Amino acid sequence: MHGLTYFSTSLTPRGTEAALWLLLVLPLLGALACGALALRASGRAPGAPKPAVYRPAALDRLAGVIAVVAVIATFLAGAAMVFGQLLPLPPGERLLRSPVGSASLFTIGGIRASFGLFMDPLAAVMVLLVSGLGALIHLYAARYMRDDPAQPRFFAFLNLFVAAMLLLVLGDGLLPLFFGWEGVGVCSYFLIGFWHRKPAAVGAATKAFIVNRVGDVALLLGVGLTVWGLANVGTRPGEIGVLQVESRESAPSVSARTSGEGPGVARRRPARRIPVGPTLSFSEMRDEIGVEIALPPTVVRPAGAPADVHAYPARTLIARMTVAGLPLSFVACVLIFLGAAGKSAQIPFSAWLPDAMAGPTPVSALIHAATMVTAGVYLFARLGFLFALSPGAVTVVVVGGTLTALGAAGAALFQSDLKRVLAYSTVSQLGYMFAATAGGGSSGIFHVVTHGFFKAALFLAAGVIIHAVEERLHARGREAAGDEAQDLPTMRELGGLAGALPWTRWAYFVACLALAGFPIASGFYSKDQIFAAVATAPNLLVSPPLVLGALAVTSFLTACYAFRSYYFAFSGTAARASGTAGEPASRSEPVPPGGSTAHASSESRLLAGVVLALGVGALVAGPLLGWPRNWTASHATPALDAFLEPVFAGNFGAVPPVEVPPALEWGLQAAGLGVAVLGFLVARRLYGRRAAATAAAPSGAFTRFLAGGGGLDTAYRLLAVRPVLALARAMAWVDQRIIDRAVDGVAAAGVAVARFTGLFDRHVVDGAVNGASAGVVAAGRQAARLQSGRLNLYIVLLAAGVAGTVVLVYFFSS
Amino acid sequence: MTGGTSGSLAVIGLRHFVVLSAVLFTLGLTTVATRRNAVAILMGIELILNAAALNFVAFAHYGHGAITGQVFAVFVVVLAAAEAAVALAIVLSVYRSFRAIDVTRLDTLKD
Repeated sequence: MHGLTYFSTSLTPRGTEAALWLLLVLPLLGALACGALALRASGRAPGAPKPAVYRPAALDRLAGVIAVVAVIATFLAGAAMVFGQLLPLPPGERLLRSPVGSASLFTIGGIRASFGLFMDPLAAVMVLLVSGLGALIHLYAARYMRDDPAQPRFFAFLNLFVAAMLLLVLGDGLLPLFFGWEGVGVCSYFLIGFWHRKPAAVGAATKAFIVNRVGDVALLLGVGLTVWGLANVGTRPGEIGVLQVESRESAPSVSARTSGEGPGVARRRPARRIPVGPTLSFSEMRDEIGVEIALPPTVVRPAGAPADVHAYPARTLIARMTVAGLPLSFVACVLIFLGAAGKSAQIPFSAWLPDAMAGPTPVSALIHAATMVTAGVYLFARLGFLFALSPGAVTVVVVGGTLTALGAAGAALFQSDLKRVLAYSTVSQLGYMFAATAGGGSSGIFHVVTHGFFKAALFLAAGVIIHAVEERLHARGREAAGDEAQDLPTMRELGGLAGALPWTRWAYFVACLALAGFPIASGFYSKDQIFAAVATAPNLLVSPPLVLGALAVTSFLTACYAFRSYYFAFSGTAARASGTAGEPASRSEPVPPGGSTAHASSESRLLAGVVLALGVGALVAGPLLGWPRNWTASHATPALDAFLEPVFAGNFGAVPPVEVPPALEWGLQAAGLGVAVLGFLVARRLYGRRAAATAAAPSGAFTRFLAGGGGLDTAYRLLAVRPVLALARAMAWVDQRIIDRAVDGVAAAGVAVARFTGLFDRHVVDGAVNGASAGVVAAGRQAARLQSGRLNLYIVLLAAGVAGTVVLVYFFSS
Repeated sequence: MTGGTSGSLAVIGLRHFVVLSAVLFTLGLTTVATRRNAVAILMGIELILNAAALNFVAFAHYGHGAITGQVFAVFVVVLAAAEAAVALAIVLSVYRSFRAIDVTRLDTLKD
């Protein structure tokens, strides 16, 4: 009855108060400080010639310290809240709310938009994962980016990334979630394109951004549809009704304790009133939709409403609504799935993630392991109650995830670039997590956690490997760091690093074990839970064995490509080298004296330490959090599952989750182990002997199709890029040929008219004015001649005038 | 204007006065117009004034017989005296400035 108690707490508007805002403010402060340093750096000598070897100033390196401290502080604060405040609460009441920010921001119609934060077990897991892995990755990045002159900008965005992701997981409602969602997208854009002088990075950043936008549109539509649906379940469209709920259950111990009664006393708890209507808040939405499952509701007449108006549980009405002939819940969920697919790089939006490798390696680790791509999975978990309404939508998600997992695993097998292998691996593993939504349980989140550890370990190890190989390849006069910006080494240039990087090698090996699904490491446990969830999925419209089969094949491929990459990186000798394995001095390239021997052998302790820590995490996270039920005598629920159960309790529709029979579970585990071992053996046979040529570019048409990501890029080009470019070209043509010409014509006509007016002005108007003045001057000059100064003449003229006047008067007067 | 006048010249009538006045006026005007000496011009002005005064008296006498004309003549004489005084002062002043009383040289205001 965890679900019941969960609802009883979430029906009460207030959880326990906690300073959740602190988790957002700390990384934000770090981002601001680093941003200030970045501004200071950008203001420095803009036109100065670039020095041959740029040494970042001490202040620039300070950015790394600030960023690391900020994220570690965030992690510590988050851990303190989770372990200090959340865990001591009884399981059914584990909900923290932030007193800051829960006030209403604005109200549109009946929708109250607030920036409230809350932390339930799901958010707690995500917070610990994001800030914990984030802290390790930051630590790694501070060392890794040590020589990059632009590192303040890097760390500003890295911190902002963490802040946005925390907002995403902590927000109680679609408004803060969407802010975090977009913040993560923006930061990923800036970080993928961090080396903005490299066209590939800029292209990848733009691609990631645009593909994400397309998904975001779908997400917005889905959310809008959901809210619209809720708006129509009130008493009247847009009106908020009140749902009265009475419990006929015996009071659980939790509420009994708080009310001072003994446990197990059957009683009628006071009726709870749940507002029904449009809302953006997750907890309110969940109350409205999920309450019918948890507590039998009583339909009542809202206060002040006409006699014939009642409020119904939203679930009942939403299930009846249709949009364009399809069930509303189906359409909304599929749209939300598309949004999540955009962020989590699933078919049809999977192509941006492999390209995102153009960013610095710590960014790849952060995006892939802890943040961003897991946002889609988190969204499914958060809105599980919505998906429970629509088996069709769940089927879409599961099929999409399974296809992505299979296709991406195939693509990963044929990549020639180490980081691209890992990128496709991420896409593939995310496919697993999507498939895990089938059960409506916590297995997807479990896989998020384990995957976070082993994928971060793999990526950071890859960063170490790339550095080592670059130093080996470019020991001669390569510019300082930041030039990872140039082409990454392909896998054929790897090899023989086992001796140079012993610690990294073991961490990588362990992470590969986890990725492949060996029971010794964590991936096995989460994958096992996913298999079980699919096998027992209550509302899947496709055959579960089919999905399971596809996932098993994926597991086989996963083991293959994981160990392929491992063998290419570490086993054998350096590529095309004549020396023996493990001897870094025996490179084929001539090494300048004193050049890179020190480099190659100096596996940075900090980097290796972080990778090792993650490797250990990859090893223990799975058994610790998800020790299988059938491995214990008491059939105990795995730790993480138990912790998350209240969150997922309302997600199962009318059908309660099926307990996995032990026999089935044993079978699934055996199968998972079997395909993993098989994949390992195949990889060992194919690549263990280091036939370097087999890593050559894929030759067959099918492998090339797979290596290219299943033709998605081609599809984008045909369906989106080309039409858009053609449209742009057509618009440019119209602009240049028609609009510009019209504008030019108008301008030319204006000029002509102006010229004519000028002529008229100059010659006619000015002529008249000048003529008048010239006439006056001339007349004056003539008249001035009378003013001779000769008195006699004046007299004569006077007399003549008088005489003339007399004559005139004489002749003309009558 | 023809009252009291006969066609003959035997009797002294209005016509004689008018003719005399006209002659006087003409002489005065001619003097004013032609002489360059400022004092001579003043003398010409006196002729003109007296021609006018003569006309006043003649017309008054032959008109209605009252003494209006004579009164005007007296005024004219007084005015002429005043005018002469002022004018001679001006001439004196001009002489001081120009060391001459030739009116053709008094053209410095022209420009």
